[in-house]
Amino acid sequence: MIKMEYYLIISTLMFFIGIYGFITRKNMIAVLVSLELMLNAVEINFAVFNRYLFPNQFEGMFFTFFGIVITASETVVALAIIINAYRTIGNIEI
Amino acid sequence: MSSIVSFMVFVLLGVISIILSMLAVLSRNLFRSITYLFLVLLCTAGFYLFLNYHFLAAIQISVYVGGVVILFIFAVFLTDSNVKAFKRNRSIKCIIATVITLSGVLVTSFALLNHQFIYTNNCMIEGDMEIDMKLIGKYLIGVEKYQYFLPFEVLSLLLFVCIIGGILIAKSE
Repeated sequence: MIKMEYYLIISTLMFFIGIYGFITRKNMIAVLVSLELMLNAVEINFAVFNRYLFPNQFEGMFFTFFGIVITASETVVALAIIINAYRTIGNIEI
Repeated sequence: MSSIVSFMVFVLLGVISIILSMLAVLSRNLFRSITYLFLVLLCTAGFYLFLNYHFLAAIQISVYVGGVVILFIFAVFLTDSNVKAFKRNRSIKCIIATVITLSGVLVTSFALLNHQFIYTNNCMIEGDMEIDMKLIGKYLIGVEKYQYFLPFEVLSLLLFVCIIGGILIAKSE
């Protein structure tokens, strides 16, 4: 039997690993990768809380759904900005 | 699948996803980092399957694994930042990041393990909790309480604006 806390511990670890990468990495694409990890952990949390605590409702599931789509669009715009910055400045280190 | 086997698969998935996310953050080669991210996202789809959210698992695979990872690889090629990649800074920033990470993990897991979550039914035991696809469609297009017509439409507008913005920003002269 899988308890709810196991999921939450995994997503906590994933979130803080993302924070570590967000602070330490210098390349902007690598920073975006860490951001993806953090958003992914948050989305696992939404789904887990919905499934275990409110199994007859769907709010968490739809928040995860909208979160995934918003993450994708945010990544598109961020990568476009990074490519543009590379064209203008020549490197994407921060 | 019996209970113990599914638990073992879950533990394996969790350990793999944690190790891979550490590798994604720590590895010096950007392509490897993106590949590890890809595997972490696949593991997350596995978690959604464990939670019986089949629709979310499908969305996760098609959007993240099919779309976002490919975009990342495109961006690495276009900026060719892989070549002059990483001098990781061993400075004060690294120490600050470690302190923040460790203290955050400790505080969060302390709060997590002290709090008693009250839930009666476990979805693994109760069996088939899969959400009907027809129901998901009704919730997405409905206009009543707890239905999501407006966010759905706003989201389509957001995607449209993102397409335009991406093309405009990344367009060369």
